[in-house]
Amino acid sequence: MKVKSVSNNIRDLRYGKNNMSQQELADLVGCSRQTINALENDRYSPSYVLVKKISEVFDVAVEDVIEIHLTK
Amino acid sequence: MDFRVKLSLLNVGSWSIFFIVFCIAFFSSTQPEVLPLSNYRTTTAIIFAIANIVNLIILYVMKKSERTDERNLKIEAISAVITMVIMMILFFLASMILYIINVDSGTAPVSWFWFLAYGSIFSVFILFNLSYVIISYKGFKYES
Repeated sequence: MKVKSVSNNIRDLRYGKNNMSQQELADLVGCSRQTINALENDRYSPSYVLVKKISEVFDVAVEDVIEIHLTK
Repeated sequence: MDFRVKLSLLNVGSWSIFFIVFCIAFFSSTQPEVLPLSNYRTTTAIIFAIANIVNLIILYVMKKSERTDERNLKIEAISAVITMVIMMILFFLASMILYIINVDSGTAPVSWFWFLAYGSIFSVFILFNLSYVIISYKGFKYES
């Protein structure tokens, strides 16, 4: 199986939660603002732990943070 | 531009300058009047000491000012691998060139080993920081 596409909802989730800034999210999940920026622009493949932390901040499922579509 | 990338660029710049000065000191060792010190070994040691002090200051500032997270560690790990592979190739090529040039005489000028020893350290710092900057900008794709 290969990665077909990745849809990232972090920016939408931030805007949906009182326009939370990248820095605020970074502070909550314990990473740098640049990492959040890289995540939002699909320039970084995060660990499960980091995605889980982000999902906890927004109180959503892990799949709602980053959706990875696979192809056979 | 993030703080670590800025400092990596600063590191590339400072180590490159020191490497250039080191090369000038080495290649002009037969003309001591060009340099403030006539003995190129002393000059090299001074250059190396200054370069290390600058690097330590940069590392200290970096550790105090920026949070290190999984992305930084991953970039550093990839940079280290890239640096190691390039250094292996460079060292192999340099050794083979020395061998080919001096195979007939059976001995190599000892000063070249001095140059290789210091040059490899300068090269490691330049390559590591340069690859850090490039990887930071290029980013990681999702692995299949």
